[in-house]
Amino acid sequence: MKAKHAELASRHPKVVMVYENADDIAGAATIISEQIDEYRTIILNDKTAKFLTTTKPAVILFALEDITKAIHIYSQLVEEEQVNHPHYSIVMCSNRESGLAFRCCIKGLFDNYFVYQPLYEKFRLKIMIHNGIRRGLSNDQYLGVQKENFDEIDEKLAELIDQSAECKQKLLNRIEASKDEILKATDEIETKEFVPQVSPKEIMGVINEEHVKPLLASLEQDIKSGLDTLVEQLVAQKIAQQAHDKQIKAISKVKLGKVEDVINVAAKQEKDKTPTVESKAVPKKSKIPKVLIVEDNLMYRDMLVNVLRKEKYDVEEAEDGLKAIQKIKKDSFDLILMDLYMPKLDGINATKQIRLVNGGKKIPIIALTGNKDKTIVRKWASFGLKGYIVKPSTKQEILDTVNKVLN
Amino acid sequence: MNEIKRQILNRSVMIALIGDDEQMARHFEIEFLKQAKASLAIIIENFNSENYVGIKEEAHYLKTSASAVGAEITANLLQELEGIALQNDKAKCKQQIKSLHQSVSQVYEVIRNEG
Repeated sequence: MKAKHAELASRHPKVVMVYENADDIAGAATIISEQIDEYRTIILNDKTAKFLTTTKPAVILFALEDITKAIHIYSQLVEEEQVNHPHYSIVMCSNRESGLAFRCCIKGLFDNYFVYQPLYEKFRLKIMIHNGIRRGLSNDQYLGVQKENFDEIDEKLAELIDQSAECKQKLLNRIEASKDEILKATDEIETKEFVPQVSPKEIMGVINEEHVKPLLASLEQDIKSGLDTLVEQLVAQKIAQQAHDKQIKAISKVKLGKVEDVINVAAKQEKDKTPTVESKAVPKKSKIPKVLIVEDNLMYRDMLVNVLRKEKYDVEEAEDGLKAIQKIKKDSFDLILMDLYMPKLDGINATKQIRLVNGGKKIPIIALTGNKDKTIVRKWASFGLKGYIVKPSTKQEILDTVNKVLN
Repeated sequence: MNEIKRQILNRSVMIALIGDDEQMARHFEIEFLKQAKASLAIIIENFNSENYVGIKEEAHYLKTSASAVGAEITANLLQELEGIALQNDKAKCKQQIKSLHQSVSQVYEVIRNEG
């Protein structure tokens, strides 16, 4: 695996990651930098405190040697008031130390924790950063996660999510408004000097009748109309799906009819010994299979590209798991050949992520491995491998494996 | 002697992988030497800073290329270096890196003399 240094810099960062070893944070740093431009990684040294005091980032991540060190450093920064502005703190940890990180968060030392060794949950990191920034900055200062950061999903489902979110937001706004109304009502009662003459029960009665009941009725109406819209959409979707299913059934009936005709014709021609029409019955597959090779070693990757291109495959390449996912989101592939150990995102985690991408669930993956550890290959296979090639292998073995999977 | 030479650079490995294309084989052999030079520098840098994980990762990276061009002795040494690096044994690492340097030089000699 090739180590890559992830030095990311912004002069006015909203998000800062304090680290010790650049190789450890390469994956996490790339994910955050994809989400926000005002981001910076800084190495832990005697200038760290001054940097944080000056820049006052909304989110600070600590990716240090271990949690104990993160606790010491962060406590010192807070105690000496070098970090004394409102911020969202995240401690980065290995899977082994997640229990300790959880304890730190429960006790209120850090606001959250993230397991980055190994890095599995890219989107959990993104949502933490998003929530952290939103807590510290106004809407003008932070525009939120942009559309290009989302995976492709069905348009109607996207609409449904937006409308549901809007419905929830309306509900929250109404609740907030109710609180204000109740407070206002209490103030009014107090200013009218009702308190000495009226019992608390009566005050509550007045509030209930004049404010709470109308608000509840209004809330109920809001929720009902929101839900009605959602139900209407779901019903419309179901009707559309049923119509689509009917259409598919009708098409398959027609196709079946045609196939039967073709079989009859072919049988007749076989009898007549006129084999020329056979090609019409079984048309040759004309599409050139598109293969993605994911391998960090440039030389070996070139060799594989060469082998497959000579056999007329349409070949694309990616140097690590993250790049592969980006390509898969943009394009469709018939097959992926993937290495195990790669920087940024390894083969196992890349496979997991690919399975979550739209259309990625069905892409066959062949593992490229020099690793004799069967436990790792078995673990990888549990995410859906169609085969494996032991590196360096031979041209014939590679082509046999590829053809077997594609056919 | 021939057997030893074959293990230093077993050309049949690359022929089996890329086909019998002399020009391309030559290209990859030269690429391997360039890569080996760069990787050795990284391994030594990691050794000096006692970054054993870094040594393991770079050894693993170069091992793929060494296996692909048929530099069998080099590939074996790299495989061993991966294991030694995990033991954090500085003395053993040093010895292994020296042997590795020597084996890459032997590959260079074979490519230069028999190119």
